[in-house]
Amino acid sequence: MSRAKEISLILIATVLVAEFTLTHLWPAIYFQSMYQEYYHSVVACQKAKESFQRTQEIPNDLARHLKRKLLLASKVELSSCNESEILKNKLTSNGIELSKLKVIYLEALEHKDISLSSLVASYEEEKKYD
Amino acid sequence: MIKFAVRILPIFLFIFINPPCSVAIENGLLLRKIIRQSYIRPLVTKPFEKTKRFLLGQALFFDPILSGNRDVSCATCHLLKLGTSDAVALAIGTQGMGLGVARKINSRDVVPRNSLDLWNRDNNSAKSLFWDGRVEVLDPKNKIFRSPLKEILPKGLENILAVQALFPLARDDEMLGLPGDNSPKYLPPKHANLPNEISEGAKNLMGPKKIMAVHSLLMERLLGLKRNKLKTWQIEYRKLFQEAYPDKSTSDFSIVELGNAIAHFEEIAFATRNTPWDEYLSGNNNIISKKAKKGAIIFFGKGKCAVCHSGPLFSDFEFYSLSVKQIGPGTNMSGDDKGRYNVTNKEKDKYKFRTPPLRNVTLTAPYFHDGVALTLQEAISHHLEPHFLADKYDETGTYELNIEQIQSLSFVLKNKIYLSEFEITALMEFLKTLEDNQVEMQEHIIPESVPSGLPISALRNESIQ
Repeated sequence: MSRAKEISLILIATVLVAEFTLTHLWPAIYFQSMYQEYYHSVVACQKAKESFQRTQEIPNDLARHLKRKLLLASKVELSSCNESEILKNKLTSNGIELSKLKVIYLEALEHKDISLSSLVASYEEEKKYD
Repeated sequence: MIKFAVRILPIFLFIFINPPCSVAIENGLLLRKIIRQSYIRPLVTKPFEKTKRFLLGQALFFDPILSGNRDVSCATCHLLKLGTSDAVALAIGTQGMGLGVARKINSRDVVPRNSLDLWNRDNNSAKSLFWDGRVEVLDPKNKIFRSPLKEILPKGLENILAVQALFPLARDDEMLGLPGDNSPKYLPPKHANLPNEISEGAKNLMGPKKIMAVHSLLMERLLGLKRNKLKTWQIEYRKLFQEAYPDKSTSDFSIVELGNAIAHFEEIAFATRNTPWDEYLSGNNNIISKKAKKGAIIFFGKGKCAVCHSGPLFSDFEFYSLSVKQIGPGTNMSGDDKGRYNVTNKEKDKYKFRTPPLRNVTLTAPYFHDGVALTLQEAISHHLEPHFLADKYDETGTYELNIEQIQSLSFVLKNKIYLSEFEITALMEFLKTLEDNQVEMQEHIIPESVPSGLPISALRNESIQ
């Protein structure tokens, strides 16, 4: 085999290996390593939304200054949704399909600490993934 | 050539693949944002200075001569070594023996409440003192206070801390003792086995009149205002008072000067001046760990801690019920303590207690009004599950919490707060940053001796078990 053919074959093999690694192997490894973190970030975000919603429902006549401070705390808590969004972008940019993320998202919504009312509220959020 | 390919493949992969490192948001940036939004500033404290008034306050704070039975001082339940508290669930006043966890009751019951710490009560953030807020500042500018002395509270008390200092002196279970008591035999001969003339002199009085009588008898013991032949400590105290208040004469000295001097000593001696948190607020980003920053974000956000633990001392000095289980005799001596209700008589105040400040909180276990939470972790966990004991029974077969305690729970906690174990440890790491790391070195505030010659209540480094 000529030297040129040999180089071509090695390059093709390299490209194929890289392609396989990037499209199959790497996303699988990445998915495994980030699954828990993404799952927990979705749960945290959902709970933050739930908490914010509950705080907003507190009647205004009931200790206004406390409601104001609770809303402030809830807004800080909502920063966990930003974290969840960053993770989602990171996962998709590493080749993980949106459908897989949707599955994790639905699993997270079944978490024992998330109430039924917030599941209804999260329907809109869920649609974003479709 | 194959070797070449093997070499370039990892480089190729490294360039194109994003490594799966954690994408947690940079906590520092978020925390700085929260700090800016919430206008959180480093705590300003008074500089340490041993003035004449400081020296008088120091002597009074540590001298057991202020107690009816000459056996307890302020320092007995406010030990520097134990974070200005006493490390026991319920304080043990007169007739007790030992200090800190080694303190034992003798012939009396315990004080119904946990000793509060004394840190940083100098910056006018403390709107109320005591667990039930029975001492309150109504107008700091014009120095108008509400207290158990009501309208007969003497004029001239400089701040809420000075007002507070007057009341443990007149409580039977804390410092006063009972009529018929004698001072312990183990005291130095000139103080041993003496009748409690203060309690005896006020025995037929009640309420504010009793408190005033106790104060007047105490000043007589301290300064011998009606005597010709003075005791050695009376000569010494007259000198200390005179130096601390050079514009006044001996006959002018009253409980007001005593309260002001103790308050002055407390605000100078018990100030946190070296906390990592304040240094972080001053701009040193690396002084607290990443975990502590995460904990701070939880404190101000998800944990909802800052809703009540707000302000420079991490307390809003308001009153809330956390449905805390009652232990000990309670204020009614039958195992119940209705907290703020005892002061206001309003139904809505039942089982409410004042938000405790959190500076040096890591040093002041146990926690809550009756010290029922032995550790900080236990105290935090209670906030997450305040009704954990709601349907449980104690050894007598009665519910651990009564229905009123359950119903009184603050609405801040009614919406359940979820924190993972990691988040709780992060929160504790943050609370650790509120600890003054120089407390160990503040032994110099403990005097070598006091004018009465009575033993000083203090745990020094070498005496800690």
